Amino acid sequence: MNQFIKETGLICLIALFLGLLTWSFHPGAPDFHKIDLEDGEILLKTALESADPLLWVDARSKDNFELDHIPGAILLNEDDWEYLLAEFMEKWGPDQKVIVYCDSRLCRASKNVAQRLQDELQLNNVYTLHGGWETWTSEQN
Amino acid sequence: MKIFSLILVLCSPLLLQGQMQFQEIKNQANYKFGDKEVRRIFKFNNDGDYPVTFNSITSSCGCTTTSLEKMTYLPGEEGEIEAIFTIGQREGLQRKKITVLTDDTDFSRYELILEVNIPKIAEINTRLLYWKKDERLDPKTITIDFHPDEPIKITDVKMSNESFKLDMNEVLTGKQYIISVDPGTARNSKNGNLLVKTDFPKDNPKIYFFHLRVQ
Repeated sequence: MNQFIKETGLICLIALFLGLLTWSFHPGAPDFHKIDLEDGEILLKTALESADPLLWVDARSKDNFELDHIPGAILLNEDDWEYLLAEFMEKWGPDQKVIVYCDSRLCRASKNVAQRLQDELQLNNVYTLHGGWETWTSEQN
Repeated sequence: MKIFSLILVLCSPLLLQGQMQFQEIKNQANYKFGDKEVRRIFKFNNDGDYPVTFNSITSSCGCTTTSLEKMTYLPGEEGEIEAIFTIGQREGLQRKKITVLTDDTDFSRYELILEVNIPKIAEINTRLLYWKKDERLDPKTITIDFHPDEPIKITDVKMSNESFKLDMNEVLTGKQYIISVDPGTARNSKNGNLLVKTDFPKDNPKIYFFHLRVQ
């Protein structure tokens, strides 16, 4: 029994040692403290501290939007792009920072909507919210 | 022997494979103009020696739904997951991830990809004509180039603000249109919406929206 415990302990120690070695010296090891932002992404904190007026754009489904959304946000998704684009333009102002969000870090809807706003309307001040709705709700709780 | 056991323990996660074998993990779908949805089948079979039950199938987008005949599959049994992607007004390369979770304790998570490229039916230079505060009130143009495979007619143009003057030319029949918009000479802040109606697709003709604004 003693032998078994010793061997198990040894295996765990070797695994721990190898893990620490990789974490310390591997050139591609992730930095757990640094948040990697994709191109055009903005952190919630940065957005809220911005001096520019914000226009929140919800790129999720209509059902999810109607359930709940960031206060003041407007719905704009690719399910009904033309109709919703008209509503977006009613609210848009040239000095606004447009921030698009979808469900979470994994969804692509906010990226697609932001790209179309840049391509089709030539808007420059367009960002996507890092972490999306999931980040917003976790910050509120 | 001890070293062999050690290597086996450390490498064991790499040796695990699921019982469910999918014929294709990535499924590329074809799209033709006018399609409202795209349907693709992901075929699988239970290659193991015990039954496997699907716990959940979720998609990265609300636009993609899935269906499965039943939840539990016996050893050797085949089945299929049907994925239905609703196009809506999407354009470009669409990549929808479908996450499948089973009760297989060895390997329970599969990620399937449904990919479809939706070509733009029209290339439009801009949807927003915007005259800044200090900008001269010269006319601006909207250019619409329809896809060469799909000649389309503009059947109607509606302007919400009559103080903007429009002039539309069909440069190439069914292919290219140029709409010139004159904001007038009065230097006052105003805006308007322009709706351009086409004859395609026949059952629900596409309407393009443009916004005009003088600051």
